[in-house]
Amino acid sequence: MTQTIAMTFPYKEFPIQYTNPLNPRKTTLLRPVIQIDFESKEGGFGYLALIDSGADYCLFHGSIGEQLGLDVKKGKALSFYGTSGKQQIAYFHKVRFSAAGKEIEAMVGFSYQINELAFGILGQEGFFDQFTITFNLNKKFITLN
Amino acid sequence: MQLQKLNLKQLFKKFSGTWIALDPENNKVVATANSPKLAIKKAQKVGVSHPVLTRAPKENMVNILSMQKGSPSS
Repeated sequence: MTQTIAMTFPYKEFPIQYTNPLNPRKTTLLRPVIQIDFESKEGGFGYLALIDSGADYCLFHGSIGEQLGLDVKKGKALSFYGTSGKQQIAYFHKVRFSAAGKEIEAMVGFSYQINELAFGILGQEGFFDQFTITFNLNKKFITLN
Repeated sequence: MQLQKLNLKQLFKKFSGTWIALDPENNKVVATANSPKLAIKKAQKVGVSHPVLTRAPKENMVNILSMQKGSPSS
C-alpha cells in the first residue's frame, strides 16, 4: 500500500494597486503561491508559482526556461489568452521540477509575455494531475497530497 | 528549504521590474538583477546556493487568470 504524505503551505501575501475599487482599504491579497524547485547545470533554485485551477497547463517565465538551458523559442508554440485578453505565445518544453517533495516531469509553457506576473502558473496538466489539492483561504493554507 | 510566511509588499515596491533572489532560510533578499541567471549568480556569490526567485512586477494588478488553449502553431 502506498502512503501519501500531505504537505501544507501558507498562502502568500502580494501587494495590489491602491486604486482597486473592490477593496479600497486593502493593499495586499493572499494568493495560493508555492515554491517549486529546479535543478540546472549552474545550480538549483526555487521559483514561486501560483496554483491556478483555471489554467490548462503550467506556464513559466521565458527567462526561467533559459536558466534551465532551454532554447525557449524552439519549443512547440501555443497561443493563449492572458489577463489582458491579448493573444500571447508560450513555447512548450518537457522539464523536471519538484513540488511538495515530489519530482514532476511535464510539458511546460515558457513565455516572454508574462513579465507583469510575479510568479509562474501551475495548471491542470503537470500539476493538478499530480496532487489532490485543498485550498483553505479562511485558514490561509493549501494542502498538497 | 521552503519559504514560509512571506509579504512581498515592500520588496516589490523597492525592486520593481527586477528578479529578486530570496534566501529560503530567512526570507531575506540576497540579490536582485534583470535576469534569473544574474540573480542566481549573485546569490551564490553571497553563499546562498539554492535561492528562491520571484519577479517584482512594475504594476501590481489584480489577477483574474486563466490560461486557455489557443491555436497550436509549429
